[in-house]
Amino acid sequence: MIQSDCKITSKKRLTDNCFLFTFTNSAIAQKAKPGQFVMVNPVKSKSHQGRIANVVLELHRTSNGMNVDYGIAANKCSPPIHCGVSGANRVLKGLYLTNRIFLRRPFSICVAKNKTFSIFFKVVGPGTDILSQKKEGDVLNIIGPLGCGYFLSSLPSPLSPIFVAGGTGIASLFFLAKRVTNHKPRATIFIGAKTKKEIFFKKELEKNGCKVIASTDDGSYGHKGYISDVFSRYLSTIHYPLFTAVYACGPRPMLKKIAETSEKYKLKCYVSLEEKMACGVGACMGCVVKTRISTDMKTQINTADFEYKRVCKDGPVFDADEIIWENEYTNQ
Amino acid sequence: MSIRISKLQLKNPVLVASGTFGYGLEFKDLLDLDKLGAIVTKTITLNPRSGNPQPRTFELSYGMINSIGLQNVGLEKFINEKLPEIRKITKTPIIVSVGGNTKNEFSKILETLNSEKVDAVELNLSCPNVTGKKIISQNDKETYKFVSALRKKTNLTLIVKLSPNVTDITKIAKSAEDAGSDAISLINSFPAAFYRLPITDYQLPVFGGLSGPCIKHIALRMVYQVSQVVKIPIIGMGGIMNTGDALEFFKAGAKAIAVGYANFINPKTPLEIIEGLKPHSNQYLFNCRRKSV
Repeated sequence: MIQSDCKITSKKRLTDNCFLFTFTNSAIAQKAKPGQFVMVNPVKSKSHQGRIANVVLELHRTSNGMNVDYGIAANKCSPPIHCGVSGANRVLKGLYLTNRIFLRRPFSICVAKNKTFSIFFKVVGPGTDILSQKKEGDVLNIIGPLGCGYFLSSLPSPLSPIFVAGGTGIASLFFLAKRVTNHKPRATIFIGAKTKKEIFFKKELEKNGCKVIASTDDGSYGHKGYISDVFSRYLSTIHYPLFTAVYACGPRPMLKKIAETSEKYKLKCYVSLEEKMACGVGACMGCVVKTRISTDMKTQINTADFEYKRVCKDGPVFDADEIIWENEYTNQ
Repeated sequence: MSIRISKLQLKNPVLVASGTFGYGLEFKDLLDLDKLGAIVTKTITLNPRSGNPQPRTFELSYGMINSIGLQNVGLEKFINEKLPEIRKITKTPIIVSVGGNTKNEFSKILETLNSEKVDAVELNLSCPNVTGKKIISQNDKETYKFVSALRKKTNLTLIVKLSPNVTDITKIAKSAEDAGSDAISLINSFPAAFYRLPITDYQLPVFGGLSGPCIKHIALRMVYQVSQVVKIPIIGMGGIMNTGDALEFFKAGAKAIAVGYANFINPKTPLEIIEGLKPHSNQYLFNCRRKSV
């Protein structure tokens, strides 16, 4: 684990609110394994002070003597950017964001090369919002790589792995898929997204020899509906054993369904979980998930015996058998 | 820059606050633990505790609310696994934060720790996240009874961490001093509540402890007030983010400070503060409080 100032060498806007940032830092990039993540401080930037000054200046220019209660106005416009704020409101929001303190935000490592690594994220709140406003050349303080990655040891086998990605969950699985490109037979990857625009990395994955099966909530691409249902239908038509294991990353309700389906078809399933984090290194115990204690995990019926494990340190990838799925909520 | 709190000799007055630094092991790759004044561990209870269900954290513009519920490995595992490991990597004094439901639990832990390689104990009489339990340090008589009973159980330096959620903090602090405490940690997090977003009709609030820069000036006020009535050292904490914040606490009467929330934003904060304090050591650390122990 390394803490370092990393320069944004490339910023790509893939859709209105999805971004791919590439940072230069060979130490983090070389250590990174698929499934691991980095903690990014979204405001500590060398140009940070200058940015505040600019915002204040612009506020003077645009507000034009307007009497605005700063606190109230800032609160009103604190939701993410898609609410279409403009002019003074927009500036106030910028001021509000640059002046507040942010905990670091965890992001899966999406690509890691020799000297650079990338993160892929969607703007869902003020933290990702302010991060998305960073420019190429800005410097952010990053801690990583963190957590344990996907368990790759089971991969070299005559059978192929299945990847299931929901939404931005594609980030860590894209990295995993790239690392197992020389794998024969090819991997099958299921991608679920809201609309066609949000199916990412499909071409690269196909170039790498993956078979891509996609679904969208609105039916604008691939199957209409949830990817977990597509996954389950697909397995029911396949004469197994064809697959080594299932690797899934996405929203909690999706992971739960994938885990259940995998169990039904006797497939080993690994899930990469997402949770709100404060420290990211295992100190604060904020990001825990309920897990079974028993060594023979499936026989443990009494869910009163459980242990909270840290998503950041003990995960984020867990054996799906280990997880006690509860009434799952989504962050979105 | 070295200071002394009873038997505890510290090379500098910058500590890390309990609960934000794990058992000291988690941050070992990110900063040189040897440079810290002392490490205060996550609160240890007699038996392992699984802690509260999610959601456990809630972020604010200037701080956070946590509802961890004292999840920890328990005394036995701490002594057998965590303590030897941390002792292997650093010589920095270890202050063990101790929690429990009853006086009996506290005494058992203290008696066990007497023969272990720890440097001090901090009694967590103020965790806001344990349901169905009164916060002991909210009552001066209770505090006195509790601390004086536990004082007899330990020969280590005894620090008492107090709750800020009281009508008169000076009364409680005074009873802790009278009961034989060697130092006072001020302050623990404030009892607070949040709703998991998005808010739904049937949702109940989640109770937790409020910490971060938003409580700094309340902490500062309490450190000042308490410094006027007690002679024992005060370890000030609550939203310290940088050297400037630390200096304010020294000015208000703290003999040492602890960094909590800021460890999450930047784990190097304590070291940056230590560096930042160096030019000020004469001005603040030694002159602001002439009342020495």
